[in-house]
Amino acid sequence: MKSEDFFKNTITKKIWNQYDQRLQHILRRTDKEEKKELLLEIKSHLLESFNQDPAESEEEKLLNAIDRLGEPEIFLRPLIADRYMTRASRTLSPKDVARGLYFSLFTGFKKAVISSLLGLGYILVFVLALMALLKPFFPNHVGVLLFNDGTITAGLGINSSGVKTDYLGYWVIPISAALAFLIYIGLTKYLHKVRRSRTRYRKEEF
Amino acid sequence: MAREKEILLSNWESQIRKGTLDFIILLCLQRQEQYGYEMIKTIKSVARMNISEGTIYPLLNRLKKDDLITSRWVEMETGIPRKYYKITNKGLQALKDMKESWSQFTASLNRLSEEEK
Repeated sequence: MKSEDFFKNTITKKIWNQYDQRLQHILRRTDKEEKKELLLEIKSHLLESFNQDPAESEEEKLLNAIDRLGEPEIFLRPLIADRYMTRASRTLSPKDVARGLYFSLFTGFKKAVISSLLGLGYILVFVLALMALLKPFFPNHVGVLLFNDGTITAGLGINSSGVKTDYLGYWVIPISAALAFLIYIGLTKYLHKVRRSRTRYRKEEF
Repeated sequence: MAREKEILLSNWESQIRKGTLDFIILLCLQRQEQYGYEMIKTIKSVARMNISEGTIYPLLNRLKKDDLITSRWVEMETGIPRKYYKITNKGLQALKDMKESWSQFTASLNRLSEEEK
């Protein structure tokens, strides 16, 4: 669907192409077929709306149609979040998880709360994995450490002087790694469950 | 004060309408196949909803994914293809359940509202 086929005015063609570029950018990470279909559907909507707009000038008609359709960054967000969540629950890829959470944060309060909690969970996974990796290099900074002044640090610490007891010693490596793995799997499974319950038709909502 | 009341009511109505948009879409489709823009026009005129038109597309996508509706592209003489949506048998059953549930819900609300008088 090329702008040349529908618009005579250069400015209108420019507005159309800019909107098209915005859509292309937003949908750049969706599946090729899905992107093609969505682009076609949105453009079809815009042209129908353009044709029925009462304004006199071509540019005004198109701008009105775009205005009525809304900001694509906002109205396409739930759809993109859903795609990333689906992919993340299938691939377990941290990159997809991060993208899904990022887009979900902007699609409603409840989802934002769930996303934030999941985000915190993934940060915990990251810290645990970091503990397992850093323990051999910084033994007095990582672990469950009791200091001479009676304070206890669990995790990663800046202060390494005055360590009285290292409760777990090098056992912290397998324990942290196992916990990171289990929490990661648990969170991602939960993510999958949340996503499925959201997309499934639930008559009790009505 | 009157303006504030108007805004409050308008926001409340908007929340209700948005929350029932998938129900409204299925209601539109039970009568006949429709394409996105046509559906928006129906929703705007019949349900008196002033929604951002793009909002409908992620919803249509979700309903399709849940097998409640199907779609097909139709080439038009104008050169603008239209994607027509049709309700499925599963969608009709879901709509029947939704209608029942909606009747019960509104009846309960009406009773509650009457009690307050």
